Amino acid sequence: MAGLGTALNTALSALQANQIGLTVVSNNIANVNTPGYSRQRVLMQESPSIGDSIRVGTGVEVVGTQAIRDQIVERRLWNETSAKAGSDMTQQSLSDIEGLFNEAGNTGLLPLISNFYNSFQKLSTNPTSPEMRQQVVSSAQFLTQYINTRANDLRDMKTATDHAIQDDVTKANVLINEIADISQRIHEVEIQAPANDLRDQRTVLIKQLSEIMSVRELDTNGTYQLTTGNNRPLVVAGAAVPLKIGTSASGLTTVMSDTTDITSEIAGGTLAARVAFRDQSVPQYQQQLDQMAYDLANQVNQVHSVSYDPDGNTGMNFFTPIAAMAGAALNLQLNPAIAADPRKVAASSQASGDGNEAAITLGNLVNATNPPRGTVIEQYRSLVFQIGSETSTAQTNSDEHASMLTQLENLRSSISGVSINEETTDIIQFQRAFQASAKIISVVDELLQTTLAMGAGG
Amino acid sequence: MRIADDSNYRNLLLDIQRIAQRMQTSQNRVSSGKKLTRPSDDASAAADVVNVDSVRANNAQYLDNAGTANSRLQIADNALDGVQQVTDRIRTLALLAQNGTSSPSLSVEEISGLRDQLLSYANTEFEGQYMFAGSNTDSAAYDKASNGTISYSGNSDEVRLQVGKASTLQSQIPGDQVFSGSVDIFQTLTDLVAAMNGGSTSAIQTQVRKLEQFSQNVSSARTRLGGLMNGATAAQNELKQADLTLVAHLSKLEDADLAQALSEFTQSQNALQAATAVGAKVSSLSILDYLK
Repeated sequence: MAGLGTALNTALSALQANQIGLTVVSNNIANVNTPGYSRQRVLMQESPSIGDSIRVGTGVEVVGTQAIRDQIVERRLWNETSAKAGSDMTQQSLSDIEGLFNEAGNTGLLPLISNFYNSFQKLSTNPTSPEMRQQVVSSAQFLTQYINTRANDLRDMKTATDHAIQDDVTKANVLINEIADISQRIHEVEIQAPANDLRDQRTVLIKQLSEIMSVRELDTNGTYQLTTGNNRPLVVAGAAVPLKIGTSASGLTTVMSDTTDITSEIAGGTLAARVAFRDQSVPQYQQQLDQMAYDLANQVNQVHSVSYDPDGNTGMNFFTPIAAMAGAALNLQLNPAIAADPRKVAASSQASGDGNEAAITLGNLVNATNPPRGTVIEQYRSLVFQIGSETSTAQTNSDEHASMLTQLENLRSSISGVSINEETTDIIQFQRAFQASAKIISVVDELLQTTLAMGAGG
Repeated sequence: MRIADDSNYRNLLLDIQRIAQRMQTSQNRVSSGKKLTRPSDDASAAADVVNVDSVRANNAQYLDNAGTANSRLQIADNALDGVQQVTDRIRTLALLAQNGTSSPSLSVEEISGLRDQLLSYANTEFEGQYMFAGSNTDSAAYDKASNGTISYSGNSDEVRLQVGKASTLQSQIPGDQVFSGSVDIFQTLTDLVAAMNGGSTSAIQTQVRKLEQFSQNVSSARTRLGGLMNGATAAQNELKQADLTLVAHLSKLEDADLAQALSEFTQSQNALQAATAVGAKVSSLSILDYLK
């Protein structure tokens, strides 16, 4: 039969268990604002009963602490983090292009295009006037310089993004190494007990890595694997498999997994957004600008080269002929011979050099279509529409992902987050249990003293 | 659902950011007066603005051209008005000579003076260009040789200017359609002077008929100028009207509705106050306040 000693030991185990409970609560409260922290619970279990006919329990033992975490939610959170980071990056990048083609406030490309064509109409009112000729030359130079600058800006964006891709890979590798280290330590620690803190840290690191690219985690039977979305290894059994930086045939940065070029298969995160921006968005706008410059130059040259200047000279191109469409916007340039001598502007369609018909025809090119693309201004209109709607879609995407991420973070919080109210309630619980156990000890003490006094008195 | 402490702050932060964003948007609209500040504000409106701006720029040039054409036609008409008066005077002098009621030598002297006056009308210049020289506007339409012969050195081009997307307007009548058309006035005057010096009534009469023919030519040229001026004025009016329509359209595309923007601003201001107030309230609710 259990004696007073058993009661004392039982109470002691309760004191210890509730003290550990308070320590865990204290740790939860301490980490209420720690990112990635998963609240912990003390795991208590009743001690084995003793006795033969009358079995009584011998108290409580703490078998460990448990982090409350739903790995599925964590993984969804990583994916959403990738989507959010990616859509933010896309939105920022497209905004940059949008800034290049902002027509608000009568600045931008359109007034220059209009001025250019109108300068020919002006010239038609006085084809021999040196001032009008100078105006044609100046407005052509403003236009070409502006288009050159925009083409340069696009090229610079592409280069800057290419560098940012390298930075992203470098950052990802730092994280991959840290994750590998921690995974190794988790493996070592968990031979004994769950490594709650290390797992929290790893979760935070993977979330950071998810901002760069989306990743997948496989954590089964003690082997831990982290891969890209397309199953390229990043961490295998505690060892890091860092990504490598390569160079493509066209001189651009590639992301390599060992010897495989995985640039185009990276999904999610800033890295995928940057690759898409570099390889799709920028080239697409470059192509549109090139097409415009190409059509503009060819249209004008076609008319100008068969027209006559006041001295009866003909066969002169207005713009330096552009051989290839690619790079046309960068290469668009007023024929230096005309820049040097505006009298070489051909305004006449007569061999005598008299008349203004060519100037009118050149001015009217503003309405001349290049089937199937439409006029130069219509092409520019499509460009503005496209960048506007793409940026606006990216903005909407980014807003949506912000909401979804918040929702998922709230879901994670509802599982793993610390609630002060809850912890406070736990404090009271543990405190009362501690107080009650202490009371039992003092009662048992009294009983023991009574018992001893009994012996002394008898 | 279990609510952890950080959810409250996370939601509050997201809400406040969103409201602040809306507030900034409406603030920008109020202060700039524009609802379209970037293409992404409204892509199709931004694209339409490109179109409208381009059409307006073209129209402005057409309007300029129509104005130029109008002025030139007016200048030409003024010159031809002078030409008509001079021609009338010459005809009077010729008739007097024909009737033998004037001194031929005095009349001849006056006629050669009037011939020079006609030459200066034919060489009317406007903004450095000769109005009756066809498209050869750089040099005088008529040159007087040392022997007194006056000949046309312009060409027969009817100079036109673009005054609409698909319409041009003639802005000049070449001299060979007026001064040296079916009647060459300068040759006629040379012949008239010779006839008057010769004293042949019938020869003078022949030249008087030519003068009358010339007068008719000038008058029909003026009728044509009048028609062209009407065309130019009509083009100007049309372009001005079109611009008003385009400006109204542009305003619809890019101007902010001030009342709406202001009420949106007030709305988001209220929302922000509510959100912060609720946020402050929620974060001040704690079980700790109710325990000793």
